[in-house]
Amino acid sequence: MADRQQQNGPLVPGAVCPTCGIVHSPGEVCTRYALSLALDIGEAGQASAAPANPLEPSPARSQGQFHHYRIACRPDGTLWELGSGAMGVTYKAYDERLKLDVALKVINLAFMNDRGAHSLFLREARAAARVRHSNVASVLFLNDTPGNVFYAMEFVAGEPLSNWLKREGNISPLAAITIARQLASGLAAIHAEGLVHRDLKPGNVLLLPGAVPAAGVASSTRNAPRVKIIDFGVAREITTDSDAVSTIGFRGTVAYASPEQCEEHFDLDGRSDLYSLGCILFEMLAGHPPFTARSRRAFLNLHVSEPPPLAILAEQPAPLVEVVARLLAKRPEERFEDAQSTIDALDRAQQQIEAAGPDVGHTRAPVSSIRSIAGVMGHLAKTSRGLPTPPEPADERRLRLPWIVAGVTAVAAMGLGGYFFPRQRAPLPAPAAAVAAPRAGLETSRPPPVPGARRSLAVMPFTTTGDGKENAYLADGLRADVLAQLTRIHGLKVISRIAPGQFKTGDRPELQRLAQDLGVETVLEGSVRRSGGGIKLTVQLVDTSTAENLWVENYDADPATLVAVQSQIALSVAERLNVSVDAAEKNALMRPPTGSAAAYQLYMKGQALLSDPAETEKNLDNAAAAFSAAIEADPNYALAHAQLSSLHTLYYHWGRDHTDRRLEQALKSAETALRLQPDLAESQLAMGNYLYRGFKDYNAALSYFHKASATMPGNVDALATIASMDSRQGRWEQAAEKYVEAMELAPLDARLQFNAANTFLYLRQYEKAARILESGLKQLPDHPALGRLKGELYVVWKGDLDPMRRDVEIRPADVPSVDYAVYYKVELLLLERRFDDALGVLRASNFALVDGATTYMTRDMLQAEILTQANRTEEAKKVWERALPRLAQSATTRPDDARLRLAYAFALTGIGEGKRAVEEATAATQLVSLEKDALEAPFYLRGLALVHARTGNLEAAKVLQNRLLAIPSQYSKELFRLSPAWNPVRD
Amino acid sequence: MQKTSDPLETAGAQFRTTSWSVVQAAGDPAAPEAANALAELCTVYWRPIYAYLRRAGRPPHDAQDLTQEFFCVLMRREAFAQLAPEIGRFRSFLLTSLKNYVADQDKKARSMKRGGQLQFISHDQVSAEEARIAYSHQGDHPEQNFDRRWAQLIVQRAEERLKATYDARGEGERFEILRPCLTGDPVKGDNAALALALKCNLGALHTTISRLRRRFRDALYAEVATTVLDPNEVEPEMRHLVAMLAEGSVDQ
Repeated sequence: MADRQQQNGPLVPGAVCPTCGIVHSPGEVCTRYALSLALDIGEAGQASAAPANPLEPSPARSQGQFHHYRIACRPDGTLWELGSGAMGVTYKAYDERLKLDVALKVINLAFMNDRGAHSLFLREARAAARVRHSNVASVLFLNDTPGNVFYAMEFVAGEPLSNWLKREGNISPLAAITIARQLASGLAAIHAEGLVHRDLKPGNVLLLPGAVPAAGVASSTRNAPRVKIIDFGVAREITTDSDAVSTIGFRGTVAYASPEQCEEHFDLDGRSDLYSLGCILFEMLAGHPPFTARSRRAFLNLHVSEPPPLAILAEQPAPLVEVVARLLAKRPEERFEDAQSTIDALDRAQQQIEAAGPDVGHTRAPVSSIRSIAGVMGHLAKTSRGLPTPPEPADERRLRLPWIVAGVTAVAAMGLGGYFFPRQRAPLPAPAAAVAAPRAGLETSRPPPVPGARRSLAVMPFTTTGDGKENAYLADGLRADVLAQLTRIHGLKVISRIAPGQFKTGDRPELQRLAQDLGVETVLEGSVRRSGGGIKLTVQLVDTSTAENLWVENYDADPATLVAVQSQIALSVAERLNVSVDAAEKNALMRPPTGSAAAYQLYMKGQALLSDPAETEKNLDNAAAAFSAAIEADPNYALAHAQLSSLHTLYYHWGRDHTDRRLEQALKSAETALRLQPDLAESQLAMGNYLYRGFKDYNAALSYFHKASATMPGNVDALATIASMDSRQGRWEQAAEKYVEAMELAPLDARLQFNAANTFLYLRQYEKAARILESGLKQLPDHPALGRLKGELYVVWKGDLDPMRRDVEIRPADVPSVDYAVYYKVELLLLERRFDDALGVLRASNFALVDGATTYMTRDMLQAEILTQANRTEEAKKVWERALPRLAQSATTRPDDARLRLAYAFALTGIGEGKRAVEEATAATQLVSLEKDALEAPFYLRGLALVHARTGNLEAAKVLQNRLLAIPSQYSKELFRLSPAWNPVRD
Repeated sequence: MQKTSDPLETAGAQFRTTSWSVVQAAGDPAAPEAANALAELCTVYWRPIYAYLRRAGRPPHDAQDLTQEFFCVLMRREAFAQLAPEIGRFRSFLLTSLKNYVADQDKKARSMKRGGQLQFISHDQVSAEEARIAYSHQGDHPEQNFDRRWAQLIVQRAEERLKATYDARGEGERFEILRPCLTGDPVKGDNAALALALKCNLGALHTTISRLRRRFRDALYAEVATTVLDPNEVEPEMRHLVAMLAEGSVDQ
C-alpha cells in the first residue's frame, strides 16, 4: 500500500502500461486486462500480465496428488502451503514411496504453457540437485512432464531464522558467527554450481536443533543451531519463450537485496548473496536489518546509496563489524571475493574475539543504548589487529575510519568505466592523476559529516586561459551545466547566482567573505583550456574555512566525451562532501543528455549566454539560436528543447514578442521536451513557465514547478516561482517559507530578497522583513528596489519616514527611471504633508507616466491627487476634469485592465460622479480579486475604499480599511494614520 | 419474507441516473431528468474530449475552453438535435458531435461567446489531465487517444462501483486488501499473506477472489450499459475498446 500511495500522487501519473498503452499508476487497474476479464477473453493468453493465481483449479492440484507425492492438508482441509515465489508455490507433501515428508515446489500455473519458463524451472531444479551440502536443502526428485512440472526437496522441520530472531532479538557475536559461517559455507556450495540464490533472507534459513559440526567452529559454539538454506535459484523471471534466460525487474526481498540486485543488473554473481549474508549478520547482531523503510523504492535507494548504519554495531567486537562492513560494501568488488574468503574472515574474527576474552563474544549487546559513532571508531581503533589497513596513529584513524566505511558508497557512486552507462557508450574520460595538494593531506581535512544537514557549496565561475568567445562559452557553459547537475542532488545546498566578477577566484580573503556572507562551506573552482583537439579541465574543491584543497582533479576530454564530464564532476563533489546520492538522483545525473558532441557544444554556448542574469535579456536572441542549432544537431535533445521553450516564454513575458505565435512555440518545445524526457526538471520548468507566464494558470503551472523542484531541489527559479504563485494565491506563509529557502540558495539575489521581504511585510512580520532588507543592502547598498522597500517598510511598520527620506535623498534622479524617481519623491512629500513642495517637484520635472504592475499614474492624475490630498478640492476638480476624457477612453477600450478602471474611478470621484466612480472601482476589485491575485488585490481594495471615502460613504470606506488590516497586505494602521489620503475618514 | 437485495444492485441504483438511454429516451437534453443524466455523464467524460483536442494540437487553454463550450452546446435543445444523428453509443455520439462542432467552430472562427452556466472542468482536473497527457503516447491518433481515455474511465468507474458494493456491506477494508487481484499486475504470489490478512484459509480465498472478479465483471457491464442505448451493444462496445487498447500496445 505504501508503494501505491507513493506512486499515486496527483502529479505522477505513472508510466505507459505495456498491456493497454494507457498511462496509469502501478497500483491502478489495467484497463485492457479489466475489459478482457469482463469479456472472458485472453486472461492467460493475450494479456500476458494477467494475474496468475496458483489456486485456480488444475486437475492435478485439485486432487492434491503429484506423481507419488501427496500434498499435505492442514486440519481445516486446505493445502499445506509452505511458501510461494515468483515462479512457483511450495507445499508440504508426503513421499508415498520413501515414506517421508518433502517440500514440493510446483510451477506456477501462469507459466504452465510457457516453454521458456519450463526450461528455466527444470534447469534450476537440476542445478539445485547438484548442490549437496549439509547447509543446503537437497533436491530429491524432478518431474518434467509437460503440464505437470514440479520437484521435491528435502523437508526441513526447522524454525525459520526470521522467527527465531523475532523471538530472541539480537544474539551474541559468536553465535552469529556460527550461523553466518554455515550460511557462507552453504553459499559456497551453491555458487560452485554456478547458481546465485538471490533471495537469501532469514525466512529462507531454517534452524535445526542439534550440534554444529566441529570443524572450524570453536567449542564454545557447539550448542548453536544447525542451519539449512532453502528455496534457492528459482527467484528468476522469464521474459521470452526462447531459451535465453534473463532477469528483468527486481526479484528478491528488498530488505536483504544487494545494490546490484536493486539496480536490476543482469550479471549478478555470488557476491550478491554475500551482501544478503551481510544483512543477515547485521540483523543477528543488531536485532534488525541494516535498512528499514516503508516502501520498496525507499529500500532500493537505501541499499544503493546509503552507507550501512554501522554505528549501531558500536559495541560489537570490531573484527566482526569489519566483516559486516565488507559484506555490505556497495560494490561487489569491494566485498569478499567469494564465500570461502568470507568463511576465512569469519574464522579470523572469531579467533580475535576469543582471544580478546570471554566477555566479548558471548554477551549480546544492549541494542537500544548503541548510538555513538565515536564509540565504534574508538573500539575499531583499539582492536583492529590483523586487518588489511596499514597501521596509523590512533588520532588519524579516529578521523579516517568513518570515511573508509562511508567511502565505500562514494566509490560505488563514481561508477567509472561504463558501470552506469549502456555498454555502447564511449568510455568516460579518465581523471588524470591528482595535482597540487597531496592526497594524504586531503583525506584528513575533509569536514566531518553532519547528519541530516545539507552540505553547502558555491560553484565559482570557471576561468579559461585561452582567449576568444569560444573559450568563454566553454568555461561558462560547462560551469552552468555542472551547477545544474549539482542542484539535482538533495543532500547538497548549492549556492547559485554568483555573477562573474562578484568574487575573485582563489583568493583567501574572498573565501572568507564567501563563508561569512553566503554561509558557504566549500567552493568549487574550475579552469578550462583547449589543447590540440582536446579540452583540459581542472576542478578543485576548496574548504572556505581553511582555504585547503579538498580535492583536485584533472580531466582530459575531447568534444565527444565532454558531455559526461559534468556528471562525473557532480558525483565526485558529492562523494568528497560525503553527500549520498540516491539511485534516482544518480540516474538523472548519469543519463547522457545527448549523444551528439556538436549539439552539446551548442547547448553549452546557449547556457553560457544565459549564465549572467544581468545579460540574459541582451543575449536572448543568440541563446535561442544556439539552442535551436543544438536541436538541429540532435532533434532528441530534451534539455535543449526545454531551454528553448523557456526562452520563447521569456520573449512573450518580457514583451519582446507578445504574440500567440510565440506562445505556441513555447508550448511546442515544452511538449517535445516532456515527451523526450518527462522526468527532466528542465522540461517541467519549461511547461510550468509556459502556463505561468503565458496564461497565469497558476494551478496548472504549480504542478509542473513542484515536480521540477522535487527532482532539482537546488533550482532557485522553481522555488522562487512557486513562492510567487503561492503569494498570489494567498498562501502567504508557504510563500515566505519558499522564499527563505530560495534565498539560502541564492543569497546575493536581490530580487529574491525583495520578494521575501515584501512577503513578510504583507504578513506584518516586519522585523523579519527588515532583517532581510538590511542584509541585502549590506551586500548591495545601492540597490534601488531594496532601498525603496526599506523606506516603505518603516512607514508601514512604525510610521517612521526617515529611511524613506534617506532613500529619496541618495536615489539618483533617473533610477529606476525619471518618472519613478519623481513619483517616489512626491509620495514622500505627501506623507510629510508638504503639498506645495510636492507640486513644485512635479512642476519642475518632466514626469509623464508611471505604468507599473498596479500603478497607472499620468501627470494630470498626480497633480490632481496632490491637490485632492491637500484639500484644495476646487483646483483638483479642474485637473481631474482635464484628465477625465483620456482616462475614460482608456478604461473603455481596455475594460480588462483593472489599473485603468481604477484610474478612471478616481477621476470620476474628482468630478463628483460618485456612483459611477464606485462602479468602476468595484469593477477593478473584481478584475483583480483576492481569489485571483492576493498580492495585487489589496491595492484595488484600497482604491475602492478611497473612492468611498471621497464620495462620502465613510462607513463603506472604514469597512474596507478594516478588511485590509485583517488580510495580509501592505497596509497598516500607521500608514492610514500618516497618509493625508485618508483625511476624509479620520475622526 | 422479502429477499435481501444484492448490494451490487443497490450500488448500481445510484449510478442509474447517469444513463445515455435516459437522455435519448427524453429526446430533449433540457428535460430535467435528461439534463441531470447528461450533466453527470459530461462531468466524467470530458476527459477523453480534452485529450482528443490536445492530441489534435490545441493548446491547453484552448482545449479547455472548447470542451466547456461543447458541453454547454450539448445541453441546449436545438443544438443537441443538430449535433449528431441518433447514435446508440454515447461514446460515438460524443466523438461525432465533437468533430462536427469543432469543424463548425473553426468556420465561425470561434466568435461565439464562451462559457455557460455549468462548469464541468476545474483547473485541478485539467492539470491532472495535462500531466497524464504529457506522459501518454504522443504518436496516437486523436481518436485513439479519445477511446483509450474513455476505456480507462469506464474501468475506473466500474471499480468505484465495485468498491461501493463492498463499502455498502461494510467491507471496504476487505476490498482494499483484495484490490491487487484486480489490477492485472502479477499477484505477488503471497496468497498465504492474503489469506492471513482476510482471516480465511486458502480455499476460502479462492472463492473470494472468484467472487471479486465476477462482481467486477458485472460492474463493468453495468458501467458500459450506462453509455449505450441497447443492452446488446454492451459487448460490442467492450470489444471495440479492447481492440483500441491492443493497437496501442504495439508502438511502445
